Amino acid sequence: MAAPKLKHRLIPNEKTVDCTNEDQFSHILNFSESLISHCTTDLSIEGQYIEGAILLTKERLIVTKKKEDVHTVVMELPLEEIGELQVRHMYGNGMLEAKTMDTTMSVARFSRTCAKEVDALAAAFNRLGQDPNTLAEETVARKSSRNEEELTRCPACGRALPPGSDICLHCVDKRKTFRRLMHFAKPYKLQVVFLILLVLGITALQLVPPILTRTLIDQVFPNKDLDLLMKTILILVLTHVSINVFSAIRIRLSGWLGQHIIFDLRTAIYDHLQRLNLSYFEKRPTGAIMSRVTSDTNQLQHFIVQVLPQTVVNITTLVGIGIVLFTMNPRLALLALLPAPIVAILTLIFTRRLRNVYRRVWRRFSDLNALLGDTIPGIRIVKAFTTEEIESARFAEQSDELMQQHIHAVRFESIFYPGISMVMTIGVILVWLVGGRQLILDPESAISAGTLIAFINYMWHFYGPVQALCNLSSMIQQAVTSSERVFEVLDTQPETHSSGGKHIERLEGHIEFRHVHFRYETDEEVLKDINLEIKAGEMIGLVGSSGAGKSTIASLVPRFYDVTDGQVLIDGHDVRDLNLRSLRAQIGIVTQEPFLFTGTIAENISYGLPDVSLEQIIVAAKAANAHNFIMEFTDAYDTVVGERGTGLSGGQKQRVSIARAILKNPRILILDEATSAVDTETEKLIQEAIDNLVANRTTLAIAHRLSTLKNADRIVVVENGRIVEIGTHEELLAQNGIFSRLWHLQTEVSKMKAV
Amino acid sequence: MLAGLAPKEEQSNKLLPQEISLARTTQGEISMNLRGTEITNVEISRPFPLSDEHTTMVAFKEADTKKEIGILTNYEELDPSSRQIVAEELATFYFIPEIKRIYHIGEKFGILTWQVETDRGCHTFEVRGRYNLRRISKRRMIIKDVDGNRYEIKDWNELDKHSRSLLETHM
Repeated sequence: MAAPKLKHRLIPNEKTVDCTNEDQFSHILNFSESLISHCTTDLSIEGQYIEGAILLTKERLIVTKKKEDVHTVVMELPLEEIGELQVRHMYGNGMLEAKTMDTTMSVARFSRTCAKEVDALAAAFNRLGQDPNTLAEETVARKSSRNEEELTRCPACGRALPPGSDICLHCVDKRKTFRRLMHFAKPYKLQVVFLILLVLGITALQLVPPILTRTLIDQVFPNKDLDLLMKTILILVLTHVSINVFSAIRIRLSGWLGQHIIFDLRTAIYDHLQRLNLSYFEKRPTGAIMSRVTSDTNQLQHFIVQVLPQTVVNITTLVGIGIVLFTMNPRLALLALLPAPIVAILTLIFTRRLRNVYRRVWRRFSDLNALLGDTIPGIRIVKAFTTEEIESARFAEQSDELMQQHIHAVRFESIFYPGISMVMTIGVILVWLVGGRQLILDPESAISAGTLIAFINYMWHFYGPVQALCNLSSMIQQAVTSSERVFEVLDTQPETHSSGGKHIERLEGHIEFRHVHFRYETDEEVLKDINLEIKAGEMIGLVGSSGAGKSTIASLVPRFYDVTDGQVLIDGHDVRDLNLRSLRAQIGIVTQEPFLFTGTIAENISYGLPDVSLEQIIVAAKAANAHNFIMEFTDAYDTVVGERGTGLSGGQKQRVSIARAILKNPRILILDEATSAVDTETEKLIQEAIDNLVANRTTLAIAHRLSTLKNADRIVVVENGRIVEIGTHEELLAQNGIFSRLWHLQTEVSKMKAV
Repeated sequence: MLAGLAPKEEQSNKLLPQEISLARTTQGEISMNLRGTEITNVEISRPFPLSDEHTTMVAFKEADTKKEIGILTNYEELDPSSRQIVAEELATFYFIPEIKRIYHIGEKFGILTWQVETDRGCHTFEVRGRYNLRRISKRRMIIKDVDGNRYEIKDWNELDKHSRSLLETHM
């Protein structure tokens, strides 16, 4: 079956270009009819891919379909017949429906690719009756809220964005990226110039030995000229010595240069990363961020110190050898260079395929890794469900696929390398043949045995650079991709860090939320009009179901996020006016799953406080009810914990993190479900520790277990981003609202447990 | 949800085919007669839209309250006119073109651009990253594009050699 022509190339960027061109609809519209809104569609009502459009004019709603590049009308509806336009979003497609007097009509169908445009058109219709002034405002509002959605397509060109990135690599100016990249080499300008000179020198020197060979064969041996022999040998020795000395310097220099550049890059990225907003980290997988600091910088280093100088070498070698060959014998030179284009083309084709072959190997490899990463941490479950055999079989299957791909790759290589080498050999053999015939049959010709051998020598030098240059474009692409990832980090606006803002040595801890609204990057508001005043030293309990907005309220205080609307005030200052460093220095946080860094317990307790004394650490640990269990360890406070250290139980970690908070002595304390993950016995210990911690501090405690909030001065119940109840424990119980219902449920449950 | 606050889990609300009859209103909505009670504006969905089996299992929901009415194991056992309504509704709601042939898969910057022929005509789409290509079984595959459209390859082995080799490279 012949491949049909791909008519429907619905690549979004083409589509958007299409869309702006309103002329294509002029034949459909009446003379005075003006277009209010239009959008593209890609499905017929029956669900076949088509190219179509929906037009909304002041008089009609028109649905068209493209036939031979011209839009023809499929259906039309006078506006006065339509009551409302609604978009039905379904699985993989959507339907624009028009509600008329007595029925609902399916007007047009489209895939999700067009959904946003159709939404906009429907919204435009439903706004038609409204005042034009509010209309303009609304469109602006819609636009800005849309920008905050997760971007999957480039706003400029409509192409899909690379995974885990919001920079469209099609739209970036590659030359500019390149220039920026070169900025990192700028401090080492001298070294770079020297390196290039060195490399050029080596290249030039490498052209010398074949010429000497010619002298030996054509002059020294026929004339039995011992004197010239010595001279030639001397030059030969000198050349080789200098080549190797220069090479040694080159290797050292490029190593030095490479490491310096990569060091600068790495520290610049890491330094910048530390200053970025939390939301940057939440949007991206940890691995993706880590690889920017490690592998992307490596990639760039390789490009700057290896690929670039090598490219200079390759180009000069090609030109140099070309000139030498043509000056020696133009006819033979042509012949010698004849296989060059073939080698180039073959290399291009083969490397592309080789890359594909290796990509498969690499993917099977990462599948295998993913499988391991899945089952090894889950080994308990595997054993509990006795699925060892199944897991082994799964592994064997993946492993087998990896093996097959490897074998395939080897098979491919076994054709590739000998093949290329064969083509190159053919060139050499041709030169031997033609040059040799000329030498024998036509002794008068310019060719000599020495020239012929020199020629052959040069030819071997020639093909390496040809192949290397063929791979250049993919190298450049890789480097641009890596640079963009690196620059994306560097270009992201950091938090307003240590600098700027009011320094306040000691906050009282009076917190006020004034009409606070908040949304993460999606459209939905997480907090709606939160008003709450917390007196200095007061303990507030935050209660509500998961996702109600409790943690979000708490995280606005240390400015992990900024409010979308309204204000958070501490001691009467808007938190945005305070110096971030001084603000956070006075806020302590204890979370549900405390994080301990790899290091000793003492280091973890005194994290961020380099000047504390050992006694202070012990006092803090005692107050946190942690001292006793710490002393049980052989290494006591010097016990290494964290990823590679001794495993602490959840409750122990919790108490270490409370000790950390006590030592920090903050004015404001945030307890985010600090006791939810431990047993009753430990909870008691932690509760005591917390009571020590809470004293004299403004505290925001989030808790599921309401019994832990008995000491709270007031309890705030949050539902769907709003404060619904507020008051003391007793007041709320008396109100008979959500809190009292929760309270009774929980006490019942605990009674049941007790039985 | 707080412990214990969750409304008591509805008892397994399995529906029997003989208890249900469906009709379409003039407004295009589906109404359901369940054991004699009339429920207006009913939504039908598949609990397992992608798995090989259970494709005849459907869930009914009240569109306005989003409350589930119940689950029917095999809608093909309904009376003919109700069955017809379910089939139509599913055919409209679930749009998963089946890829019959792959002409080209280009990769640039981690984005795969697919040019394919489907049972709904020729189409070009973009896939962000390999994790959007999902192997359902040995033979079946689901592909999700940037905009959240799904495409299906019903039988890997039925594809021509060129398509298969392109797939293998990018899977």
